[in-house]
Amino acid sequence: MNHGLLARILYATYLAALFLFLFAPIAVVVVFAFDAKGIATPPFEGPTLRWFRAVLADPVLQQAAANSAKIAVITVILCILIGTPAAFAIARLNGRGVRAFALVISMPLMLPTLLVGVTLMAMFSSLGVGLSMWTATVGHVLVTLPFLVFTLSARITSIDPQLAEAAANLGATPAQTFRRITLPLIGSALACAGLLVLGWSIDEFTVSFFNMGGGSTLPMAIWGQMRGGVSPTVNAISTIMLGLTVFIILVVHRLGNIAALGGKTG
Amino acid sequence: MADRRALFLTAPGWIWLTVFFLLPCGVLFAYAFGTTSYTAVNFGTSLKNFGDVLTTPTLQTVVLRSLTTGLAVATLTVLLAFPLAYAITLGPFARHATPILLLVVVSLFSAFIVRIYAWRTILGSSGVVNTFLMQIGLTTEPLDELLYSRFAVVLTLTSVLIPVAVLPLTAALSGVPRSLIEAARNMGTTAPQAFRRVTLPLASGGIGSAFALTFVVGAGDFITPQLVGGPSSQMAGSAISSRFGISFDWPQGAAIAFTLVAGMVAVLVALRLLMRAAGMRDRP
Repeated sequence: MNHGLLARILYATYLAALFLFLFAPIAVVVVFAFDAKGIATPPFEGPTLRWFRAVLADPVLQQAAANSAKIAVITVILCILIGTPAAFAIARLNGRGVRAFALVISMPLMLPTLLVGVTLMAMFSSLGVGLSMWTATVGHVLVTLPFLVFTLSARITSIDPQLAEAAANLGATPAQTFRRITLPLIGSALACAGLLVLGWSIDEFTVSFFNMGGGSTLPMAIWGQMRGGVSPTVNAISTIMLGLTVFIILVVHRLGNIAALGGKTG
Repeated sequence: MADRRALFLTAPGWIWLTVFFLLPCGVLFAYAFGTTSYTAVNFGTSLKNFGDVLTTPTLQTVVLRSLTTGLAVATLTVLLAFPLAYAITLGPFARHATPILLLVVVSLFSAFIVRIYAWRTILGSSGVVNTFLMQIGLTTEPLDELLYSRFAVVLTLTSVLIPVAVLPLTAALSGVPRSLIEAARNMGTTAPQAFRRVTLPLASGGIGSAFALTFVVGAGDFITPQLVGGPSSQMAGSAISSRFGISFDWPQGAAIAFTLVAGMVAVLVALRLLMRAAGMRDRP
């Protein structure tokens, strides 16, 4: 199909306006993270790194960041351990059991996250399990698992199963076939999905909010500071978290799997 | 053989989901029929909690407000995201799909709470938007209703959820063969007719999932109403979260939650029937 110049201009204008709608608020936060006043109201009164230094020196925020990092790393490990075999089953095997499994595994993503957080908290509490970093991690795995499983199974579906069969015919044990044939083929997809789960977990608020007990994470620290009135460091924490997101997405893009998220395009 | 392999591969997932998802959902459902003494919650067989949700005006209001907010947000989100998805698949920017999708994914993976905080910041009475409006002389006083209003909730959720809608829309539209649209045009249909009779029905699956995803997140959200909404824009999510927090009334919280989910399912089923009646099936 041919697209005239007018159509191109119209679409380009629309895309620019839409991205302004998506990114302008974030850009304001980032700019004012460097403002001397410490609140995001114009005019901009001059650059400072004061708020970033304050964030890095705050022991409460250090603890929150450490919790976020620990939860995210454990979430990625558990997701990969549980999700990789699950992705193989969904990609390679059929039958009612696998279809039911695919449905159940995607349910935490189809329900409001609030309900996932609340149900988990209610169960832990009624069993007398104390809320901690670990109970929050369980929730993080629940909400990120469907994403990892379905990204990975899409990749596995696109691999020729005859490759693994050929290796087996040539005398490789199942373990050797997995390590030498299958793993290299799914490696980059696994790394991409793992990194995105890492970023998602660091940003996840709702599940932690209900299951952390007395502890805190970075998003919970933002929530707490916002509810507590004026706090000049929120802009700086937000900027650090946004920077981390951009970094992760760029690494994933380098590894070459971003377009796969939107189906086959271009 | 295949069955045993399937069981072996899915066993860790089944165990995790049963213990930490299916079982907790059952526990919460049981609590919905229970009672609270505000220091302890007990299981029970009472239908009182559901009765309260359906008859208490304030609870009716928050559940209905969740559903209407979700509908407004999902409609706006899909309408605004569709031209982007179209531009990078069948439209003039198909060759630039990757950088555009990259931006969408950056937005998608930016923390929900940071993006909501950003809207709260710019909509405030001395925020960027009000300052700008006063500088260009549109208003002389800051518009207070920009923040802490239903308008702010819908605006914020729409902005936050557009990236969620883009991905299924892009996947669906990239599956529409250009040859079919060209065939329809060659047979004398106008471009709008071809869009209405070929493109839309073929993409209806993706449109449906984009709508359902954004509707569920929008209707079930409790962060946005609390941060940018006022007292008259609180939704069921806030009511649920407070009952599992300070007011310690799990049974009523559970009853609100299941009423909300039932309402969501009803809305989505009704929409599916409407789409079918309008001829928007998977096949033309």
